[in-house]
Amino acid sequence: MVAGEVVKKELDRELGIGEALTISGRVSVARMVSPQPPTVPFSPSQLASLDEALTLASRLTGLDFSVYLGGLGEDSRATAESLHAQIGPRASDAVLIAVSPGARVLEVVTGEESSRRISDRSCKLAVMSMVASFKEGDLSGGLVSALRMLSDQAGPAPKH
Amino acid sequence: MNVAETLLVFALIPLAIYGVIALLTLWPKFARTPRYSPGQDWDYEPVWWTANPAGVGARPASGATAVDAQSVRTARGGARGSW
Repeated sequence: MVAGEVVKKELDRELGIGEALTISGRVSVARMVSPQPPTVPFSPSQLASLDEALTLASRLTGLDFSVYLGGLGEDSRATAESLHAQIGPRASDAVLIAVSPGARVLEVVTGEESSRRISDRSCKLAVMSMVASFKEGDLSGGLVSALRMLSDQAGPAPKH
Repeated sequence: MNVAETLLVFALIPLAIYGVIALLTLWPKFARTPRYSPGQDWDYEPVWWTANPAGVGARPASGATAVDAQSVRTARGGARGSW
């Protein structure tokens, strides 16, 4: 073999469907795109309105609103509070809405600063509004209206 | 008009019209995303949404340092409900 000579690599198997042997010897494979199943049963417009409600509520109040959708286990309150603790240093300002549609339970958890801004009574009011919507099967609508109610209760961010 | 033509006009064409109308009415049902109805199982992965950081803007850094998150109880209030 001479230095600089191109070595052709022979393929030791048959080319499958969508495969092609390129000039350099590399096998180029085209794979079928399989559509991913939806991760949540929400339409894109519902997701967009939820995102807008979360962002607006957090920007207006200076609190960190977040929404958790998933299983909460046997003791839903303890799970929701441990989720709230996972937020870290900003947990004091955080308001967590944890919803378990499988167990039909929802929890609103406020931190030290956010509980000062949003009373438990206001949280209860938002919970009742969400329950009314969730009973009708409207998860995203209930979350959006609850975020609006909570941000109205908290009021604008204090200016120091 | 022989038998074949009669069948074509009086059976096949009405059936085709029925089919098209049925397809038009059922199409939105097939095409839309699955919807949650109360009582059904929730087989989806858990999700946790927060506000878009670009939309929220700059936040004052919290004075507290990150401590062992699991051991400290941060919850002070809230409410619960079920449906």
